[in-house]
Amino acid sequence: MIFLSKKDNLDTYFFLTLKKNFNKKDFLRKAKVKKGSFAENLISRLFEVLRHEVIDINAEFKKYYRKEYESLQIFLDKKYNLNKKLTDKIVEANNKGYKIFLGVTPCSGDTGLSRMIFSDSFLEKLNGFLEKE
Amino acid sequence: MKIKSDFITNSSSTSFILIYEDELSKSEFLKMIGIEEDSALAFLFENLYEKLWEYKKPVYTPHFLFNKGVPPDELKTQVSEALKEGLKVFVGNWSTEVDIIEDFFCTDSFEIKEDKFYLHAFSCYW
Repeated sequence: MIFLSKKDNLDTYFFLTLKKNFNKKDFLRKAKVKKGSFAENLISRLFEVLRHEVIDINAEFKKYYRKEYESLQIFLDKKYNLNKKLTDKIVEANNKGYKIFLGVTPCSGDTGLSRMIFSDSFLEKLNGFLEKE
Repeated sequence: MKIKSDFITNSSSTSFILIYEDELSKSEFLKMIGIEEDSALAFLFENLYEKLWEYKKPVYTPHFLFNKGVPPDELKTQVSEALKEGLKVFVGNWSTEVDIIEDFFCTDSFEIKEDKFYLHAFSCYW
């Protein structure tokens, strides 16, 4: 799943939750694209935008912030100013063993694709896709 | 008077050239470009198909390319040869004003090359 939270007037944080070890190969398989096809190329780019310059938020918390904040939830609340509803969802995903990645959009790189991915209508469908088992 | 908030940008449009032999259904198009119809991401490519088929206009000579910008010689040759071979050639335009998916395909630069199918969506030549 992808959750958005306003960072400032220009940028938005996005939090991406993925099953542990879920990689591009899994993403492409889930998307049902044929190897070497146009569709595979575009869906690969889409995955790369989602993983572009993101940080593993739980690893970040454990490595640098554990002493400062008593839990991941408090860390997300205080450092990123997220609302409780969102921190609950992220912590729930983390407790289920999902990896939590934090990125900022609009991101540098594939900006046209990034603009499309993080639009409300596209994101809703993308989340439907990510939620599917 | 209209008041628009948030980012305000100018719109853009771009052109495409589509060449194929036989008419394609949406299912055939999806299969050709390599995504299964029941994929949860197929909507992206369905949108591409719908916009291509909605906007395409047939051309019967390659002259539309000759006074428009500077298309590469290979493209002029390809269009001329396709017409000689009896393939169907179309041109069309996308805009950034319609929806976010068309906005993406409009501003992206790509081509699709398959057997008897070619979509040229690089630079805008007219």
